[in-house]
Amino acid sequence: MAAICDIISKALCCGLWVKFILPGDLPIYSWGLCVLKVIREIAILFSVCFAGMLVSSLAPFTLPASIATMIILFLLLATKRVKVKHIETTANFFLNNMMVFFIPVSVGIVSNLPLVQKQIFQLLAVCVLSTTTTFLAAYYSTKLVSSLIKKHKGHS
Amino acid sequence: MMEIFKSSFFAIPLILSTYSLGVWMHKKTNSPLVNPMVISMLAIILLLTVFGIPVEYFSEGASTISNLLIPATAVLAVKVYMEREKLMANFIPILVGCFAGAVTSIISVIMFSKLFGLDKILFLSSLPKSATTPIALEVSAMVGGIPSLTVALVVVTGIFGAVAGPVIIKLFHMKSHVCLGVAYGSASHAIGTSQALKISNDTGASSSVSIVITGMFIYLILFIMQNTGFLI
Repeated sequence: MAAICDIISKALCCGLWVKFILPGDLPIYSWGLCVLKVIREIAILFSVCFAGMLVSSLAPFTLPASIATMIILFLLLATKRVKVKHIETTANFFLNNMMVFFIPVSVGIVSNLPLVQKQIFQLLAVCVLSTTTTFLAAYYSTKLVSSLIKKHKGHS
Repeated sequence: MMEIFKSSFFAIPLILSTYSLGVWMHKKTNSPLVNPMVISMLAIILLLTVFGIPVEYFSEGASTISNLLIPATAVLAVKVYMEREKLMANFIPILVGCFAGAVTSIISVIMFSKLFGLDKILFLSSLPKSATTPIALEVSAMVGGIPSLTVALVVVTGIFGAVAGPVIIKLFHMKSHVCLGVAYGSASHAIGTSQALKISNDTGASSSVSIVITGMFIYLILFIMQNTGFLI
């Protein structure tokens, strides 16, 4: 499995320019230079996004570009080809302000208002009941498995 | 004259200023009921209707922001990677818990939709509601739902989870911190995680990891269901 990850990430790194913007190749610039750091971070992150879009357009099944990008970024991090410090500032910016990027989509609900209005209470009821069941199911299954593992460890 | 409202310089300030207003109100009240995204959404809708600006014009200008959805989703990988030690300590329980959460969420939506006689398009839009917003958005488009409605439902789910969570915990005498994190993360994603962080750091960490894992499970399950013709 590790070998497969390595091959995939190597192929991606060589095929794209992610490798060239990684530090080490250009020793003149230091990561301490803040503005340059952010510019490079954006360059790295957006190149990975481009790789994700490429993979998603080549995939023979529906693979959303954002999910493909997430998987590629995780593989790059796990194989240490990209380190967290290389994208830290930008990643934290996106993580902390993630909801901003959903506002444009959510405003689109205006055009579907008649459809929603008709069954608003049913929709809310489904939401509420299903969330409660999920909460309970997730809690008790995690608890069951962790107590089973503890028991197993105690026996051996 | 109306053409200028198609510009990004109209949409971006509108989004950012209403969002900052929402964040300020959230900080003042410190309650999950006051959600910055909901406030921003309502304010924008209000302004657009009052001034008679078509939503399409706004969407065109806001495309600069919506294009950044891909990096905003991708950085979730950084979050999981940073919490990997805590994930590895309880790897199998968290994985099983997230899988159970994803399956329960999908099955319960199917069951309750049948029970209440929900329209097909509304049912499809509510299927990925326990996934985190970026994943839910993509999955909704994949199964043929309305992405904007899914975003709204995801936020409602998150707010409900964060508000009802403490009540459920008290009612069922739940104690294990890691398990609570998984429950918050898989039932009500990021908004639930903010509540989980109030319990302890362990709960917050397991919650933020389970958001991503549950989202991926929901994507996989719905992907399989769609390709086997279950949803058609």
